[in-house]
Amino acid sequence: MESKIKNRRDFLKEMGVYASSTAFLASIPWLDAFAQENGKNVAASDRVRIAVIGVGSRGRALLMNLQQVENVEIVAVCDNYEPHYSRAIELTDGKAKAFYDHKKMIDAVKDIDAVVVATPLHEHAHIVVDCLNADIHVFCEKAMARTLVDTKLMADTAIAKGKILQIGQQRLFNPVYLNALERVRAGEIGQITQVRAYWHRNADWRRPVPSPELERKINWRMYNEYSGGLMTELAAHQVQVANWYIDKVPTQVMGSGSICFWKDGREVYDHVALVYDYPDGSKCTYDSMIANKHHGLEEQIMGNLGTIEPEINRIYSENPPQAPGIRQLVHDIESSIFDVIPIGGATWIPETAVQYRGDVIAPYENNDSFLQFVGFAKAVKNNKPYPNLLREGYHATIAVLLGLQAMDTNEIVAWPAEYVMEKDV
Amino acid sequence: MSEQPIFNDSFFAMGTRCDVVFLNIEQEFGEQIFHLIKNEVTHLEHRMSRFIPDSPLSELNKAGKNEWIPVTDDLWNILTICFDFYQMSNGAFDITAAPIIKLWKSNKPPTKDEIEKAKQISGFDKVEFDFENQKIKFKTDGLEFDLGAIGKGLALDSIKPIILKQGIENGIISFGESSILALGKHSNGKNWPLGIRNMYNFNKFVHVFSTSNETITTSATILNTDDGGVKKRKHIISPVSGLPVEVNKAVSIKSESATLGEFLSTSFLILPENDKIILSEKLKKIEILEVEYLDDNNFKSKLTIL
Ligand SMILES: NC(=O)c1ccc[n+]([C@@H]2O[C@H](COP(=O)([O-])OP(=O)(O)OC[C@H]3O[C@@H](n4cnc5c(N)ncnc54)[C@H](O)[C@@H]3O)[C@@H](O)[C@H]2O)c1
Repeated sequence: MESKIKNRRDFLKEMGVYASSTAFLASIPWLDAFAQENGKNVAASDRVRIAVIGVGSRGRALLMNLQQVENVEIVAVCDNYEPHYSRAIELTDGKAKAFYDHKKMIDAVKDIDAVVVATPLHEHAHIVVDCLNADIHVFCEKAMARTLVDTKLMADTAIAKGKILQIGQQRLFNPVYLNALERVRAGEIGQITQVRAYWHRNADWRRPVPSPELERKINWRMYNEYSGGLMTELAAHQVQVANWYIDKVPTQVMGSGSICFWKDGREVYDHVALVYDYPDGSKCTYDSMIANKHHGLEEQIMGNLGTIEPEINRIYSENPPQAPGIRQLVHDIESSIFDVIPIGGATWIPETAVQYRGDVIAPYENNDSFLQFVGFAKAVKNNKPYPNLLREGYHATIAVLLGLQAMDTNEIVAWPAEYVMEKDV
Repeated sequence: MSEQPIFNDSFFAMGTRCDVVFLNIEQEFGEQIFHLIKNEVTHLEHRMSRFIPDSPLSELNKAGKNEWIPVTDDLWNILTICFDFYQMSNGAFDITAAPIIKLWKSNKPPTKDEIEKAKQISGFDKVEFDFENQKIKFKTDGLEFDLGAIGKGLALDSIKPIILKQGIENGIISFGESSILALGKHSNGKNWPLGIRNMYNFNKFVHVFSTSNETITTSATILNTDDGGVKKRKHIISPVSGLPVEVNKAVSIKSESATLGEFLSTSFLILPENDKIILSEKLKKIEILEVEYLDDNNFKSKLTIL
């Protein structure tokens, strides 16, 4: 395990933000985590003691990421499903105390610094609020909650208690997204007028169920009571990206949802299409479906000077560099100069004149789900939330829930003022 | 700024960049024509590329020995032209030479044995044409057509009638500045002065072609890098000997047809003097600029006007 642990300075370098402008770094407070010297030989008391609640598919992956973070100790695990409960014990070599009930866990293990919550959506709010009220910092998977009221309750509780509530929007820690964002802020793609985001899969999105009475527990994503379907599970990531890059809170959303292909008793839409409006007139158009995967997923961030496709790590200019001879020709004509036009230059070297597929935004080998925990562990150790980090996850969840409302009611839904979280300055 | 509107845009195709410049034309109209060009080139590329797995050319390339394969009209035209070129050049221009060319792309030179083996699965003489039924047959397994040497020329030749029909009179269409169509006149009313640079002295021209409704195509074993330096390459291979062209040479051709230009610029790099003379006898309305770069920063150039 030891060899996988990296120095924080290395992270920053890898994150491609090492050389960033101080103004940009200051605008992304959670990058602080990577800017500081890494503490070698920390005393045991300096360790961050974390418990994982909900060790299902995502929880397992998160747990394994956490095990690679410096100075993090997994002291307890909790899952109310026997196979996952046992698996969690195995994953922690029996070192973590195991529970079926998070309340019992909070009572029994006194010195938990933080919990990671990766239960199904409807099981987020009450667990998170219980932990915050017990003065425990929380990392909770996206989306935040099944309802607007629960979402707000979670945020309000965290703020009132002065505790960290970090939402699993891992793109906020992704070097490619950060690098691209810096370039957006520096004006490289001009004014963003549209983010066109989509997530397409071709699969029924069901999980095998060992016995019928477990259907709703295992396939919670299929039922409105537990999940917002594609919106809370997939769109939350991408609408967060749109809000972040446009740097505004939407004013309204319209949309249409249907069960179009997978008519197998599910309640959630298998096909959604929405438009989010922003105060400056820009829009995020969003669609998701699970009966065709040709286009995959992307957030196409479009400005008048360029386009960013962060999922595939590409940036495109609206005016890619010109062949030198032609550049001179155009300049000459515009200046009424009639010089000889040089041709046969270097640009025609076949192997350098590759197809214009845009440029790579940033080299990236890291795992953003891991990086977000490096940030989280640091915040827990400092006992202080990063300014504006919760705001991103909060607005993403509000946005997808309002989108659901628009589709359910077939009406344009305005963003209620009480669900706007102001920026910390 | 000039008073006349000038349209300029570009797209990437055929492994290079296609730049389009039109004079005296409204932006919107320019965009329409630009799209026509782009569509035509994309369409051609999808039919003629051997890198696109299901292109008609790739389908043809999958054929085994001794099968008669029907060929679509457009590909048939191209293949028969290329067969003519093969015969005219005594085998110097051969679109079936890919196996030999591939050998020289690796870091270490191939052995005699490897060259011999590659020759066995290449050579246009191993293709049989059934002119009546528009079919071809490979006499050996492993044979493949590669239109890379001529693709940009074909593209320019098929773009030209399309844009002339739209009333475009003056402009430049350039594939990576190595295959260029100059339409009509420059904005001063004179022919387009297209200059071939001296690779040793970047600011000087070896020759300036006065060009109108003609194309200039260049092939070379030496070229300038972006920083003005010189790079020598061994990528032009004689299919007959299986060996690369060793002299540092650039050949530029002015001709009405860019396809013919591509053929000639490649052939003139490879062919011995005698064969060039024989080939020249069949040509007219062609200008050939041969520049040989010597080791002492000098060059020899020869302009042949036919
Ligand atoms: N950030 C991401 O990229 C990402 C990816 C996948 C899933 N997720 C999120 O992770 C969460 C979990 O998704 P999943 O796919 O792992 O679901 P899952 O069903 O595989 O896992 C949920 C686990 O929580 C357990 N659980 C349920 N109620 C519990 C309770 N009250 N107390 C303790 N354990 C309980 C279940 O037994 C199960 O093991 C969801 O919010 C989902 O949106 C995020």
